[in-house]
Amino acid sequence: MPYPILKFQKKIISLLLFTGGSLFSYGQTPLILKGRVMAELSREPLPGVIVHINGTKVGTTTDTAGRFELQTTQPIPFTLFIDFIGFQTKEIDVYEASEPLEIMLQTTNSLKQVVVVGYGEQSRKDITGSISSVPAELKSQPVSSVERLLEGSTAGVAVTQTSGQPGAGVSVQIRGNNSITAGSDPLYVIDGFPINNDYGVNDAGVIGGPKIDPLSTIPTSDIESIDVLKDASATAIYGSRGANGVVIITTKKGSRDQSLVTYDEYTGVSEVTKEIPLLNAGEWWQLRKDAAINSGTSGALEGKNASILATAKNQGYAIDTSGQGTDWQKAAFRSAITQNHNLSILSGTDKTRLAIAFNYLNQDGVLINTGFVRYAGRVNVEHKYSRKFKVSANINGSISSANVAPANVVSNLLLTPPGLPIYKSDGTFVLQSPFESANPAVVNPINTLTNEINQSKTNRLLGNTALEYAILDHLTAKVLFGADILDNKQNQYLPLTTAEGLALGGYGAVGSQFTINWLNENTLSYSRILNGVHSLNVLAGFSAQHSATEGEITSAAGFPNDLLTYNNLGVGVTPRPVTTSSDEWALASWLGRINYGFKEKYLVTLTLRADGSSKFGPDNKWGYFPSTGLAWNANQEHFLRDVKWLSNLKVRASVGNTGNQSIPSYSSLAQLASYRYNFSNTTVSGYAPLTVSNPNLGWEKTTQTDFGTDLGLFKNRINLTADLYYKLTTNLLLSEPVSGTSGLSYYDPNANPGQLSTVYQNIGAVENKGYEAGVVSQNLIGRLKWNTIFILSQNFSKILSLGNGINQTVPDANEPSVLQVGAPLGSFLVYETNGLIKAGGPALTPQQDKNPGGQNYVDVDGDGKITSNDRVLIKNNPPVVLGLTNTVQFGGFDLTIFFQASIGGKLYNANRAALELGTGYTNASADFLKAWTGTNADVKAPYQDPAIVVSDRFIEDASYLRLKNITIGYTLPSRLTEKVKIKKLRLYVSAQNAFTWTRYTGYDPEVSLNGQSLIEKGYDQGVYPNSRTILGGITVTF
Amino acid sequence: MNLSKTITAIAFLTALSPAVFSQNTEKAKSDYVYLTGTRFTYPLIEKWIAEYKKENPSARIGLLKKGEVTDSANVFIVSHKLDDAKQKETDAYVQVAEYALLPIANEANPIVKKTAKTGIDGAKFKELFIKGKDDELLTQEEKTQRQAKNPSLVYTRATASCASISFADHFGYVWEDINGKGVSGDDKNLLQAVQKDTNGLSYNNLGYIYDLKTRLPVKGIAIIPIDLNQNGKLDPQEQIYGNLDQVIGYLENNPDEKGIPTAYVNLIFNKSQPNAALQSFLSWVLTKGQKYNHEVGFFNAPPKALAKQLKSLPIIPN
Repeated sequence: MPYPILKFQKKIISLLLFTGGSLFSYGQTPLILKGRVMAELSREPLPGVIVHINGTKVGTTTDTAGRFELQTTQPIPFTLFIDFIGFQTKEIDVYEASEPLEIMLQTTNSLKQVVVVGYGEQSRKDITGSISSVPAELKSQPVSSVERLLEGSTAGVAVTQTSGQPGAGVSVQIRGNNSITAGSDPLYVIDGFPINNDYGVNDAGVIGGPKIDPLSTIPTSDIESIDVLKDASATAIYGSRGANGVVIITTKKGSRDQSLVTYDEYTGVSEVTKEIPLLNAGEWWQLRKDAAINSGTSGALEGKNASILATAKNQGYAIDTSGQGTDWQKAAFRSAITQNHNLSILSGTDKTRLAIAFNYLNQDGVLINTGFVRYAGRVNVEHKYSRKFKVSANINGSISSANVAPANVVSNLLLTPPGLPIYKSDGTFVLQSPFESANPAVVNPINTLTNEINQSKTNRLLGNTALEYAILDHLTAKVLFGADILDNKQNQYLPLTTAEGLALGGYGAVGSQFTINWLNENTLSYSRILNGVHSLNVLAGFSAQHSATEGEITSAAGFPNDLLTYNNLGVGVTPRPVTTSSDEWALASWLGRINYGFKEKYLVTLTLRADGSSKFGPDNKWGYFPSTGLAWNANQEHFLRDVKWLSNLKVRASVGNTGNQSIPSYSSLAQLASYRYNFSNTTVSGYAPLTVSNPNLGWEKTTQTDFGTDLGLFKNRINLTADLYYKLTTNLLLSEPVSGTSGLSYYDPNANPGQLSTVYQNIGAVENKGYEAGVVSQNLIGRLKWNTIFILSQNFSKILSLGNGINQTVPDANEPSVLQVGAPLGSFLVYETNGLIKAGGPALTPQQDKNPGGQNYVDVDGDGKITSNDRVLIKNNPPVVLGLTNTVQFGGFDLTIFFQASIGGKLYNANRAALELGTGYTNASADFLKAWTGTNADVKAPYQDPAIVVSDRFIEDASYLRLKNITIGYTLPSRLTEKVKIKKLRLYVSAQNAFTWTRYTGYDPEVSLNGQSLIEKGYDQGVYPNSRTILGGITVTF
Repeated sequence: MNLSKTITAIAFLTALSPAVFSQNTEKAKSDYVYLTGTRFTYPLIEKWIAEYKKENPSARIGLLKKGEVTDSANVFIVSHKLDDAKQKETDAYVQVAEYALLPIANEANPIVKKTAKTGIDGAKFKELFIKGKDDELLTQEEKTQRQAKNPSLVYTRATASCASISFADHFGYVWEDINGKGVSGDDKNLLQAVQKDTNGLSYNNLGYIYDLKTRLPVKGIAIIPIDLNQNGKLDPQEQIYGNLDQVIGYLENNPDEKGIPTAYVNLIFNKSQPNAALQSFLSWVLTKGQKYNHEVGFFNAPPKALAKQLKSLPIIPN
């Protein structure tokens, strides 16, 4: 046997191995640290708490009994971090592990304690103004646009989804609408950069349909916090742009001690919330007959019908006159898929914080061939160069593209006769309805949706960089440079295969609009506590902002084929006018704020901002916007200090002036318009005066007074906030007609000749007053957690003045909206209905046809005729808006239920007006089955033939209760996920707009055609319907 | 073969043992004193046991430290204020010694220089150690300012302990209100944490703060003097912290002094069980044992209080 190992040697070897082994393991003996984490208040164990050792990857989460066990070779002592949402983070230095650690965590206040205010941060106890913050549990909802995160969480903020077009239509109003012609959107400030969210900035002007929201370029998963400034004390620091409130959005920054990689994905299906019941082909054919009887034209009907049927046969399709026919709504609506992917990396050290994120969203619309796609990326860096010097940079970039539903397509869906098929027998689309119809013609909406190109693409780069230097112990200087670069391109092509395209020979248009908005802010802030009782914070600064926009639109028609669509407009034989445009405005501002507090009990805030805007007349360029806020922290008084259940009682009051400068840039100047004129056979172009200048053109001024109180009970387990406010807006910018003797008139070939020219003047006044209340309550804390958020508000608006002796203005004669002194904004001026015209009875109607069965109206002025003087005012009294959110957590499960309700408020259902026309040229609502016919005298729905009369018949109660969001999530137990190095894995399912209870008969009580315009709100015509969505998602954190 | 025999023997003995031990246990119930409790008192308890055993060598008395079978302990050392309402009906307690807690800092901490001439008073104490009602409400800026003003990092016990309870109680708060980084372990570790961190600030008992041999503060630690008469400066008669015996002397001569956090060392036991050994030990502690207190950093309760307790000792039925 070669080289047998002797017994002795074996022993030595094994001994060596043993010693070596034990030495090895001795140096690396893992320390086992056990413990239990509990909530201090309830003494209940907390599962899912993150426990990790600082500076290492060693970490775990507690089990259902709150216990944890860590193994580490880290030498003692080391620091343990204990982290759990809703509780304050705890740090413990561990010197020995022989006994299990009993760790108590204290709850954090459910109300965010550090609030972002204009140009800085303040702790909630020091605030004198009215500021709400979106609570943590609502910030992570899977919604596609930023404004929707404000729903249901902040009192006084009304968020309405005015259109179902993906990427569009969210209207945000804070405490009512102050203005008639200027914008009503709040100012959005993203990471310190006030951005212009006027939808016009994202609209090159080529396509029609709903406008795409510029804020749709920012993914919601990037957002750390949203703070809403509501009263003058908080918003006056934004001076001329603060009148509509300010929404401050802060994006996520890196963390200081750990790296987190999070991947979040959700996929969902959306369906339209309802379809409007319409007539089928057979019923509609019968309606034609009845309508002819009503209008006394039955004799001609047979002939008309025969000729129409023949036309159809010639074109290769057959009209259904007795069966179901085509359900156009069903053909146009589909189940739409949404997909969202988000990847974020948050990291950092003591000195540097870094956040990088990527987002991809692809949201199909419920109307075929519509949708929204967005790619976005973001980098945030913050670096403490030295103890005194800090540098930060934020860059957000996005590329998004929307296929927008063309204007009128939803109206066409409803009006296209059901007897018409979608396709001809050869498979191509039927072009348009051969039946008599008004202008514009009813074209095949499925064809429009499928073949028309209606695109809006936006590239945006929003970035800023800031340098902060601590000059002295208490004095800090900050310089910020930022830029917002927005590039919008729109493409439209109407192919020859569509009726609208065929009429023009094929039509293509492209347009683009490029905006650069840069900002420079320089501030000094001084912060000191004197003698331990006086706390003083002073801010002073200068800011300059400048925006320049250039745009162009080119179109052409007359294409031989559709192959190149809009990509080679030069081929079109019919060139159309090319337009270019340019716009510039600038704003220079001085701002200052003093916050003084005495013993943290008595607080005063004074702010003043001076804004100089290029938009206003030379005699009025600078506006001054002061405000004062007072607050009393009553719970700090000695007589309330010992009341154990009262943890916070603050009473506050504020008053101040803010402004609105959202008007076109050159309104104060005398303007020339270009005209073309024919001299013999030569066309020349020239200019003529259009309006006079108004050197006094100035800001719309809002003076706002606010009284409020904040109450905290039981160590802030229950937080109540209530506010009463009054806003008076004067110097409203309204167009006043210029006297005819000035010689100025506005020549518009489509309008009445000699229409008077108008000029912007500050002449109107509007008042808004109301109340807001909010309750945030942690009902149950401990193993089963239950939180509730309830908000309630109502805003009363009234027009006080429309200028020199004007009592009433109707913005558009075809719409019911009216501006009436003494009535709320959004009121209606309509004819009053009064039953049906009976055979032999009086026929009081403005219509030509006064046959029995038609709609009868009230003769208000008693002159025996129905004229425009017989219209009545219907005040659109304000709704009470409520939101109720309940969040429950137990074990790994979490459940959120959010209800929203609006009680009161009216909508004018213009869709219904069109559907109850009853001419038989277009489809009609199923209600028309109960319409009057010669034989059916007992009816509910009189016909309107031949034209729509704007009457109270179509004004409906827009109250609703909606289950806006219900989400169920489950977080896997950590001991399972840690095996694959995953810190947290959460699965969730969510339903949005699940149920709506309303009496409104249209698609959705939240809609408005006029999007952001709030005088004309409440008008529902052909608005892209909202949808119900079910989605499921997963969030993984490494 | 050998092995199986050994196993059998062991098994046999093990089987018998309950019988053997139970007899002993019954007797032991009335005849031994096993103490456990506040760890920083162990030097004192051990000293007492050692000296007591010199006079009573057969006494069954011992100190059970953690890790040992504490189930058999029958006397519990609790060194913070006892809530009489929470005491069990069957329990009684004796206050056998007093100790003091002093604020300490790492000797390189700037606060040492700042307070050397003025000392600190009640308000400053609170500012340094107790959480503000709204600490979590501070903005980043305010936090940075606070830190710039006072860069000390307070260390405190991570879990409830007699020292942290007594220290907080001195200001009318509970131990959770002490605003600092938690240290797990015992008061020795708490001291170590301060020695290691140049910004360290904490509290600890005299026995650990001072070197028991040299009677001077231990290496790396400085004591933050307390302005006892609250006149804004440290008068000569307030400069007592240089030497352990000076502090002890001051405390014993001024039993009504409210400026320094002090508390009693209590021994809790079940009074319904007759225990001659305990009776004997306690009377020794209250008389002869007291002279050993100073050595290990504790001081005596006022003589009247001691005498009163001694008289009431016969609550233990004999």
